[in-house]
Amino acid sequence: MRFLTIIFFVSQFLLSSILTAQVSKITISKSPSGFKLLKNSQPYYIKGAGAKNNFKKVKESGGNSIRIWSTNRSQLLDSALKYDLSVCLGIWVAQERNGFNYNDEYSVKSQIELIKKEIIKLKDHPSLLLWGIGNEVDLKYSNFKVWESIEEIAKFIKKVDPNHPTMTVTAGLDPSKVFMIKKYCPSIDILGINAYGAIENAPLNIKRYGWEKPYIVTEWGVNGPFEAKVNAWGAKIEPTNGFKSNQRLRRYKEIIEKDENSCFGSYCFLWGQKQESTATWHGMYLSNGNPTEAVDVMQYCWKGDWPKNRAPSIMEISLNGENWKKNHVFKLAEEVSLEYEFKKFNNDSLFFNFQLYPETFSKKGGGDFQESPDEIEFEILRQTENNISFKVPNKKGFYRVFVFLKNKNNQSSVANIPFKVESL
Amino acid sequence: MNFKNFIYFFILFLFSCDSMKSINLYDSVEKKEDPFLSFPHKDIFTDKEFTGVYGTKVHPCKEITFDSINNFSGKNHLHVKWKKTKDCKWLGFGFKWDNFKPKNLLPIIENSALEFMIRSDSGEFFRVPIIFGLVDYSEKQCFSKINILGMEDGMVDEQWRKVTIPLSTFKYFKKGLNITNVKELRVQLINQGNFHLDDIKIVPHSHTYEVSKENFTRKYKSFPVNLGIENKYWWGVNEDYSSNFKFLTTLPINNINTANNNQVLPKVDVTSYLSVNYSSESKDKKWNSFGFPFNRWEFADLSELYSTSVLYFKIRAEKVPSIKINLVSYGGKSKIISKIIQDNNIIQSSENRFNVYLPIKSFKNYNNIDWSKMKELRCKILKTSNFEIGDFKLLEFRGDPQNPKKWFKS
Repeated sequence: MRFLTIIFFVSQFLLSSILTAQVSKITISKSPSGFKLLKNSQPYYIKGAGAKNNFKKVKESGGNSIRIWSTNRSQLLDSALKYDLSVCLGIWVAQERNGFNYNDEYSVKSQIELIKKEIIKLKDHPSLLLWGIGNEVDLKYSNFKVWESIEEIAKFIKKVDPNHPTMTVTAGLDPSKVFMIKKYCPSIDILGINAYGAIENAPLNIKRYGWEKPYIVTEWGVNGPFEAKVNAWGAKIEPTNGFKSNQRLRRYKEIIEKDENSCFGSYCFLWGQKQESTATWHGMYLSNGNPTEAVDVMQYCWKGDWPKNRAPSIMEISLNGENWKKNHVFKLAEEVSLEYEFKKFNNDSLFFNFQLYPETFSKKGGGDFQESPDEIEFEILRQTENNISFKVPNKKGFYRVFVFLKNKNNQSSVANIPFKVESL
Repeated sequence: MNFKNFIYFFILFLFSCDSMKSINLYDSVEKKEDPFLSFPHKDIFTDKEFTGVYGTKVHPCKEITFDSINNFSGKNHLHVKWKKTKDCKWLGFGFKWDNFKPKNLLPIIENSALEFMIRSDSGEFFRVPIIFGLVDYSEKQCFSKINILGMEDGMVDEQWRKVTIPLSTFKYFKKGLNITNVKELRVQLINQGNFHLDDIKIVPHSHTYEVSKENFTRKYKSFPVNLGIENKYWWGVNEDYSSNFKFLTTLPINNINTANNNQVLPKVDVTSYLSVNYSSESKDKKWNSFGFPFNRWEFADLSELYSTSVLYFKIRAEKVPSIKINLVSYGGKSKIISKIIQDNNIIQSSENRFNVYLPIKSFKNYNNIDWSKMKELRCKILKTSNFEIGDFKLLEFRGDPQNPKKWFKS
């Protein structure tokens, strides 16, 4: 019996030692030239994706980290571990714009207590890289007390988890946000910036606005719908996938990678699909799960070479010869020509698909949920490799027609163009 | 009056005071009753036999049964299992609560709570996806949920644990619910769950948490409004990265020995001013902006002043530089209004010294920003220039917005 007891305790000790050994120690070093993120004492540059799935492809493309926005799907940490990806783990902090009242002491304390329990539960997960406390809590806010909650959570992390740095993530950058975080949140180690169009000046603004610690570009990609030009009836103009790919590539190479002394890396957005004004705006995947050319771009950014098989790329789209930036107004059931220009990188056959949707006119922002519209059936009258003729609906309204192009590996490219139907 | 009589009357006088007893104006003074004690509808659910519960029919997404095993009290308790799917968008049930009698919760709303016992079949829960709703006779509803601070030991597990939801957390006024005429208690089930509930009632409760009214706003009501007087709130001035902008002093002017410092503007009553040495050809040409908040990066309410104000500042230079002034608000249809300094905004005070006046009404779309939530003033240098700038103020101005010189010269 005594022998069995000894065996039991020894095995428990060994098991706990193994588990402890698996926890990564993440630190930040500061030198005259700047900051470095260290994972188990080795420099670690984040090549990351904001992702809830397709982790295998992140790894294959040369990525090393994923960002998730909340602790409520903690199984994603296990999935990341399977592919040797680290995780920037978001702690969901309620947003004032969605009804949370930071003047209500009862709600505020309750939120913090719940979050503390999540931190205790997940702090020793081997894939954990750093904590992202709150996401865009500053978007359309007016109660600066939210920063007190962020600090209380960060301070708690400092107390219970010495292995992982703390970060809070803002919607873009602004001197007031930098000031508030510096004033109220001394326990925050890293600033996370979600920057779309604003990424162009992000490294400059970080310095101009007075942020003195390192930062991570926690969401970046193409300009968001909230930054897009709108046409005469308020429909947002979405660039083609080809245009977006070029924009992504330039932003990574010329902006993110170049600020290595204070930027610890980035998480591209979105390694998946979501409805945000359209079904294709931010997603690097389509709703059917097919990867777009944006995934190829990220491989080039992370690994330095293009995939052997590349997705085709739609560069231009037009209706009756006028491009996607113009106002397109048609009569009921008018026959219209939809033209598109694309690049392909080998001689594989390409497959086209065309879809029509009503315009959504969503004004939601900050990643808040948007419902996808139902597809409208329509008839294609003629089709060649670079255009189709179709009849617009026989009903007044605002529409958007999509061209989907894919190769035999389902690698895809997409473009869309809004139009209006009225009884002229 | 002899001495005896005096004593007699004096004693009579003293005793007469004592004998003047107070008389109630009314027959009796009512004793103040505890509103909770007189509230007649305290029990909401005890047992199936005594309490009306509706919404318990068999349903593909929920199962509500009266379980008689392991009750907290009485003969049975509620066992609620549910799983929300696309086909069942709303899941819930309700308590008739004293057979739908109208209930006035107003007298007890601040000092009472909804209380019940809860347990799970297995596992620990810190969040319980159940929302409670008070419903009035016009079907208006207000809601509250289970808060971890109201859970006994901060969790729900296999033991019966007490949960308390203060009635004051039901925000009835926001939802327009008539709290004096409540019909029933409704329960909304979110996502999925499996819990046992028993002994649901109203209890006395002291809710000690506050809802503050802090709004981070300073209201400005009189002129002048001094701006940018504390260097620590400025942005864009950082000599580690660029020498385009430098503070010449951080001290109040009275403390500066001007004889030893040629750069200090004489006779200028500013506490902070900036030396600008900008070249649009230099490698840090993008470092062309600086700014400061109106109210320490909180809200500045200028709504009472803006329409009769002018933005004023001083410049020392050979000629007035090309500067774009942006006024930024935290709110409004537009959040920013801009103006480039024009000749008619400048009055030369002496050699190389200029006063600049930018009437607020001369900014395009000045009415589109929210003047009650003003954030900052930004300056963008548009061309190569070398100058000093400071003494930013809002002054009273009731002249022609397009010709401020006339008002100030007169």
